[in-house]
Amino acid sequence: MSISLVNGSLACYLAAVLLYGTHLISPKGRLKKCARWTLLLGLLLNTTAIGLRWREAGHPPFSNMYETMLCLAWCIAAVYFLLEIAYDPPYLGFLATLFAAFVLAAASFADSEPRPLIPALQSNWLVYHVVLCFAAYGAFTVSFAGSVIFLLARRYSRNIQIAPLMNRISYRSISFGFLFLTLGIITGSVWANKAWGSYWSWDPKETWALITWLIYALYLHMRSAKGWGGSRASWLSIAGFCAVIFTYFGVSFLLPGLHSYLK
Amino acid sequence: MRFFSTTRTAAALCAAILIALIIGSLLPPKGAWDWVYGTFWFNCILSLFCLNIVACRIRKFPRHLNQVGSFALHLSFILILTGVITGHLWGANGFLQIRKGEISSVFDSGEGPEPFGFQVRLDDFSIERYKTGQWGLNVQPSPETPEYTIVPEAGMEYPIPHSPYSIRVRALRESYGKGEAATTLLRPPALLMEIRGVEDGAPHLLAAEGVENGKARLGGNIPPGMRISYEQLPGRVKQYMSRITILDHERPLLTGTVSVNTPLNYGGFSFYQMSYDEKAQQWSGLGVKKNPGIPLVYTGFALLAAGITLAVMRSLRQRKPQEATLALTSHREEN
Repeated sequence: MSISLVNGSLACYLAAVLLYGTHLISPKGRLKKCARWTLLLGLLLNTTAIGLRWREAGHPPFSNMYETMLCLAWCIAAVYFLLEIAYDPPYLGFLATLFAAFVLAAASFADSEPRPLIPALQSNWLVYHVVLCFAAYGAFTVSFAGSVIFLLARRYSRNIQIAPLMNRISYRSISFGFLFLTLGIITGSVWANKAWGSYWSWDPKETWALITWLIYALYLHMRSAKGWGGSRASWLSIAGFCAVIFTYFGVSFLLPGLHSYLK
Repeated sequence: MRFFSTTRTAAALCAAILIALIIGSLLPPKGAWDWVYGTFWFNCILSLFCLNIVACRIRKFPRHLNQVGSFALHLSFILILTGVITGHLWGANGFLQIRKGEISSVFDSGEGPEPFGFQVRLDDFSIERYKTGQWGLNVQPSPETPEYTIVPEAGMEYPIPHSPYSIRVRALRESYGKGEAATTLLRPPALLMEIRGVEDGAPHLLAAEGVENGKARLGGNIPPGMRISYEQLPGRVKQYMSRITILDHERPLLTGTVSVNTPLNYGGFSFYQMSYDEKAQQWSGLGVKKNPGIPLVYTGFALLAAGITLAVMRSLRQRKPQEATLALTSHREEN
């Protein structure tokens, strides 16, 4: 049942991509409104799918790649939806929903068979740690999209308002993402100490989460202390997102460690 | 002092740490520790980075309430680092492999046995498994042969290794809704089977039905020396736990259970369920840790969480003209 809802959610995200994309070519208020409602429907289906998966599996649905990808798609869509209500940004909807749809489509290639939790994952900290980290990943994904649009707008667009708006959206999205990532790392450390007696063991996942954190800390410091904005900040945001991708996918598949159960 | 308290110094140190972390993450675990994380130069860079944070904060002591978040966030790193150093200098880290009924007063620190100051006895070790819902035949053809497990299907014949026997499954009834005509009078899980290859030539028919003490009741003509049962197959490990007693010269002080995610604490030591004897479940592997720096580290975490929340909320409440200035700066730098 949850798989049907996931497919429905994917269909809505793809429809939203199409509508946002059409709006880029032919800007009409109705199209964007339609896209927003389609995105909201996709988000609701995604939420229900996660809830049903929780019920089917009998445990919080954050224990393997399939389940975390459902969560990531939800986070990307939710973060963008909130930003659209606040800023109504042009172009960003197309990229953000494209990312959400891509993640959900990629989830279909992962093993979706629900399995019981291994002893190491049987803790309430699983929910806090994973939800916080993926909320951060969602925010960083949207900020990445904003940075890409910023760089393209500065080069190709005559509308001088787009670039500053994307700059601002990236900054705010990264600020939220940095907060959630920090809390995610803290909860992970506390959980690791409870499970293994060590709050930091230089596991590849931990190390790359720290790398991601340092890159975004550098971004925030360069912006506030050195007045970095514009291209330099955007490239740093893109570097941070590359670190996010490697932390989530690269480490899980290429570097064995304590988080290998995400395969 | 001025050199240490600049953003440029912080950025350079941060870049050096990033490069070291990337290299370390790509090396095998032992190599990563020997070549990066455990090295003098890496710890020097980390220490310099923390000095830089201290120096920056001394220069920018908060004068307004809205600077408190940033100050707290940076102060937390100092607390965390102090906790790390405290744990490193005065902590202990080791492993205790202990058999059922055994009493130990030392643990293996990696450099030799280290005393607890009390004794630890493993009273019991147990494994809890998930129920699979699947039933299987456990067959031991004779006392000298090992036990084999068969997941039966109706109409199939299964040769039993190291024996002249085979089992033919005539009919199967897994549940009340599902079953074959021959088994409808039997309570599920029900199985009708024939043991073939017995020397006496007599038919050896067996029927298993219902559940008693976790196994199906078995009746029929079992060949001499054979052990056979029809029971629910064990699933994946759900939890494994050790029941231990802390003793002081044979006087019990504390009895508790250690399982994954549920350590036992006593006398400054914490015991973690790390491993166990997978074959015979006769010994349990417990991680032993002593870390007096944990309260400092956790206080640092709390301060970091509070500080960063305040700092982010403050930065997001910035009025639009400031951000417009920033945006304008971005145009100016490009043009």
